[in-house]
Amino acid sequence: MWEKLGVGMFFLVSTVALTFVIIGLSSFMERLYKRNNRNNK
Amino acid sequence: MELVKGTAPATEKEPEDTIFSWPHLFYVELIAVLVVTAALLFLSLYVGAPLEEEVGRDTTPNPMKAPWYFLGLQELLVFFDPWIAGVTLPALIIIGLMLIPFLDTNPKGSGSYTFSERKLAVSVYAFGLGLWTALIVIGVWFRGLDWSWYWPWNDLHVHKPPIVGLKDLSVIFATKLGISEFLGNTLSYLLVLVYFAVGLIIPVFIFKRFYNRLGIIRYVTTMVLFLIMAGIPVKIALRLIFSIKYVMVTPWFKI
Repeated sequence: MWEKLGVGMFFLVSTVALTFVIIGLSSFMERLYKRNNRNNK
Repeated sequence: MELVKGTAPATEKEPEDTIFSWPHLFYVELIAVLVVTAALLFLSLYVGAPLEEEVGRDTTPNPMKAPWYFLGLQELLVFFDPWIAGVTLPALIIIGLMLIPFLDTNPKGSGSYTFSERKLAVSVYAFGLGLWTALIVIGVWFRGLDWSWYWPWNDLHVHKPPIVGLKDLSVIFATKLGISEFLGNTLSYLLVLVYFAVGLIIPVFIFKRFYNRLGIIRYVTTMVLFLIMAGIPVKIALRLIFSIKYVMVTPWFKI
């Protein structure tokens, strides 16, 4: 039972974690883009 | 190249604040292409492809793993019918991505598609990508002999006992509630129907502006695609945690 719960939770948690990692990367690129944009003005 | 009179909806900047894509952007892109090509060339020259041992006529590798970029698809095969995992779901992903320009009516973020301007859209996309990546990660590092689940601390050379006791939801309903298998089956159909009905109806009242902006056809298409995507991890978790083999069994397909 615990093994099954662990496997299932691992799948769900890793999906959510990877989603946030991708959102974080997107935000980071946005900040980088905006900073560059400001510097070029 | 010449200047023509007209409006550019993608930017609110005055012409004095903008530059031509040719040559300014093109040069940057050309340099990026050359750098990436050179890097790949050197990588392929000096790093060998991770090939396995020579093929033997009398042995089939166990586990038989696809290349990493197909392992998400191979992992889906554990949880869905082959033609659903291998044909329908990938087709829906491609069709869904192709439909984005037609479904998306929000003019924000045009030209620079950023998270701060498009929180919902980017989050939904990131969820799909996160799900796909999680399936690949599981396929690459957590599957071993007989495609069983192996934690990093498990011995990869020892077979794990096959998973037993997987039951369809209709059978669980029939045995737990003491009803016929037909009724259990009907109940499982209803559950899937309720999932889609609730997923379609509730957001109409909570996100009225979203619904009004899209219109009924765009809204239903968007939400059905979203609900199918959100249903995939739910179905997988039901199988992994509660040993539910299929949520809905029909004579034509099982999900």
